[in-house]
Amino acid sequence: MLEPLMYTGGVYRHDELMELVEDLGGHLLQKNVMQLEVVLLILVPADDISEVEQKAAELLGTITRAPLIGTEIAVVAPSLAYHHMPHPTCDIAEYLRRNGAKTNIIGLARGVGRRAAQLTKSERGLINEHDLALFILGDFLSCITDVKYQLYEDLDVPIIVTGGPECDAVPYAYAYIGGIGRRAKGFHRESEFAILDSIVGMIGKALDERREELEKDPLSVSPFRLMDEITQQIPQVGESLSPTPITMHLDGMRIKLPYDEYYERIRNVKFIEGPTLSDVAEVRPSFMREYLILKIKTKSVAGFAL
Amino acid sequence: MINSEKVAVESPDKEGARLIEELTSDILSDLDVAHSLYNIRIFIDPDEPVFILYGKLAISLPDIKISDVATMTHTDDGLKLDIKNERYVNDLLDKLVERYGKANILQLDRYTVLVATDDDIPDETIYEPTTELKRKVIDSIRRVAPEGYRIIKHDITDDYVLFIASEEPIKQEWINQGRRLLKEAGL
Repeated sequence: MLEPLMYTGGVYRHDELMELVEDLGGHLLQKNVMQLEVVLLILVPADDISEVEQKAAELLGTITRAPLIGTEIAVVAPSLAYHHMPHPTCDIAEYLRRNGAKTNIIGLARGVGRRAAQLTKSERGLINEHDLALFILGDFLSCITDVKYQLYEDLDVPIIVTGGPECDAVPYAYAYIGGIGRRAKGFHRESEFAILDSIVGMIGKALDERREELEKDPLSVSPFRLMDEITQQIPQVGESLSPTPITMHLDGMRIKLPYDEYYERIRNVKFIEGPTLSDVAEVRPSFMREYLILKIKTKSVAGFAL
Repeated sequence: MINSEKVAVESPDKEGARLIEELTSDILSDLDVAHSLYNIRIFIDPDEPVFILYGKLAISLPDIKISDVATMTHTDDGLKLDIKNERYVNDLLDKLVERYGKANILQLDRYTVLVATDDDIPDETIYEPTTELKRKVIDSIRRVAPEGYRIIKHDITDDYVLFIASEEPIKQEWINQGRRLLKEAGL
């Protein structure tokens, strides 16, 4: 069982921590260097956390648990106008990032109002590439319960909805969290942070359920092992300027390389046991730029597990 | 007269009304119009759908003319403007460029501008605080109104603003309702 952790510390000697994680059989998912500070998103075997904590203390850094590591979450606002940005959309996305998630803010083309609210085909495809979608809606209960579900009723990923009024549940959504709605100010009070924490908690719960579902018919290869193989066999991944050249999903990943150029090479990534990547995963073009999406086949589909 | 700086929101959805009230106060103070717009009343019904806002406008500063910003003297090089108030230099230069063309204007330093003319410049208005205030007020109201309400009818004078927005074509009854709000306020 791998535990998701975030290390924050100085640049000096942080490579020692990276090496330790590798030696313990963990994975480094993201490294962000900001001047003299470094933030590492890592996955460490649960039994060895104390060793990592000890090393972090030695380097005068801090280790915090970041439950959303290894997931990509779509934060969907009805539009990117000042009615929704920067509060609350960006604030919520930032809070999710601090808990380890990779977030993408998506502003819909026709998400506003009642009469015209709808999702385009490409928006639907794009949101379905994520592990979960969080919809940021407004202040009126009748809009949220009677109309806006049209935006997410056809999506395949779990949906969490936030809005202003308090309400137990809304149709087609995994959960609803009230107390946010349209805001013209940031989140400052403790009670407001409690709402953000409840969003993180609810997302964590939804993702755990998805993980449990995946365990019933396990993936034919661990996504993290697949990531390591791709990084080693296709060094161009490391040359991407994106902060996460490979963005992990629960059942696959997004690789930030042009699809047409790298499609064949990715399919032919070899495993030491014999099979190639195309035997264990499906490669398809992403709705985001020209990127690639990998969906790992389950054991029952692939017929074997590595 | 300022009777209330509080925003009064009326809506069939009480919870929504409270949230809109909070949002309006935040936006107005954020955009620096909290002291310029008062006695605000909002009616919002998402089921209709309609958003009506009425507010009184505070009296703004008088217009700024060229003589308020600079003194003019004729010299051998042309007309020399000594700037007294640097805040409006951009507006002054815009006006001069519009009138004389860029080639005939030379800004020697922060406080001196030369214009290639032998005549006096007419003392025109270069900055209208009223227009600026109205722009800011309309901008803030558009931020308060739901984004989907793109069909807008508004009436803005020196004393008040009436703003009606909807997703559907504006109905006469909404305009009447807005007029009634104005009447109640004695306008």
